[in-house]
Amino acid sequence: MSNTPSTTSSANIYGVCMATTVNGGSIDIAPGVLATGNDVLAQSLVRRQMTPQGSDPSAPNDGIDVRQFVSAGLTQAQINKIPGQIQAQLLRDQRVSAVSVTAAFNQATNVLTLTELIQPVLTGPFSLTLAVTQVTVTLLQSQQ
Amino acid sequence: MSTQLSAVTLASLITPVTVSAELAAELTIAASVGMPTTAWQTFTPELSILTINANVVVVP
Repeated sequence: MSNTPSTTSSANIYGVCMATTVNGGSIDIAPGVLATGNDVLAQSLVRRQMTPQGSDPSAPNDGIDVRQFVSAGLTQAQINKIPGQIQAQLLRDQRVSAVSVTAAFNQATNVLTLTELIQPVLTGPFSLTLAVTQVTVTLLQSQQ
Repeated sequence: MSTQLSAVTLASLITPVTVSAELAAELTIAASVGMPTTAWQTFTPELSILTINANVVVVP
């Protein structure tokens, strides 16, 4: 493979896998692109949040589809419960040591914004910002 | 002189393959061609695709 990254330092600490992108409501494989380093973990965590529990045969007890949280008239009490559920799911990944999630819901647009600070076991922290509607998930930012 | 033939069933000739055995075989092949199979964790596209394939090809 011509685009296989070099096998040195922390770049390959999580191995190498096919890169994926989030395209609205679907997860797409980026043709010819490989993910390395924290991208492997970050993309895996995004896929985890777009996979309904039980739908992946390789991990039937894992996954949470964050779109299920979004509905018109979401109450503050319901919003307050969302971070805990997501944190519990993200911590099921053994590469993650700590997670902080905040959720904000815009009643006018019905968009749930999730801000997640991830502390991996082996590498430095990074953050993910997701905009979630009833049918789509958009990765607004992935920052190290 | 007569010869007694016992009936041979198809089931007696076939060893069932389990999903986990099929997945192990696929991962072995992937590793043999240099793929980093041990790094593939939950929700890695490669692992999900191979697991789906193992479920498809194994007849319950």
